[in-house]
Amino acid sequence: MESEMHGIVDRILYDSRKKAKSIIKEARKSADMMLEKQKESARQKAGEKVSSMLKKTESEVATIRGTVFTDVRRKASWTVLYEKERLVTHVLDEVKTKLEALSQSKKYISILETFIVDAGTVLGGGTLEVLLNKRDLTLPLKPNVLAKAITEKTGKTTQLKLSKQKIETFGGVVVKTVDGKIVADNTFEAILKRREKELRFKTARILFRD
Amino acid sequence: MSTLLKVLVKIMEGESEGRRILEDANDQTEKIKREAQEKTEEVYKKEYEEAIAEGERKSMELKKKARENAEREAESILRHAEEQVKEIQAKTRERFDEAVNAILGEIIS
Repeated sequence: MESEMHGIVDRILYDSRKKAKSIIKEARKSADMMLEKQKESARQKAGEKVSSMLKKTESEVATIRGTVFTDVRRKASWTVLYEKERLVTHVLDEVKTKLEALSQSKKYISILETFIVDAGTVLGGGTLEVLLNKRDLTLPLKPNVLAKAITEKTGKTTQLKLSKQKIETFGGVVVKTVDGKIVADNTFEAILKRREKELRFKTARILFRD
Repeated sequence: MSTLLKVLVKIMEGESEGRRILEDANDQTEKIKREAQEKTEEVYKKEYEEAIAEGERKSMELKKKARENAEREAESILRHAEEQVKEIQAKTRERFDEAVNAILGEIIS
């Protein structure tokens, strides 16, 4: 009878433990499912945001490509343009060097005379003051002959006075009215500066013609 | 105490122990549920942030690749410009003196 009793008690405990295990197992399963559901929900929500983010990225990618190509095309144009500018400047630098050499040649005196006549004509003749650099003041200029040429061109009696004031230039002349109100600057530097745009354009036309 | 009574007492004790085991199991179940509940927000946040971070990484990678590809493709434009520069230099070498003399003539004529 005692062994039967033990059997019954053991059975009761066995069943209880089995049921307890099952309850706990079920609870764990349920908890895991709940957490998995949360994860899935988070992934879904994030997926919507990521999808919209990637759509935006597609448009950004197109912009990036466009920007890169625009920048490179601009850089390429600048490379060519910069080289052209450099070559034009090189020509004008050489012109300046040649003018400096020319100012020490025999041909120079006639050029200087032409510059004086041109400047005097621009000023409309009259009594004019002629300013030269130190070296050119020693040249055998003929002011009366030049004044006559200006008179013929302007129709106004002209008198040229060589100024004692020396100007700083590598060649050319400054002519002004005696009152100093009007000045015609025909120094090489002034001519190059005044006509720079036009000369650069002409140089470019020769250098880069097809 | 009669033997029968002893048996009944033992069985009742067994039943009582069985109920205690089940009560413990129920307590554990409650604890598991409570802990899971407490974790939900943290799990959601972590999963969400990881997915977003992955999306951002992918987006950055796409943009980086797009830039690299575009720069590689655009290299030909620069190469063409460099060739153009060489052609210009070759042509202008031949025309340099002509240009200098023409400009000189413009100034002194």
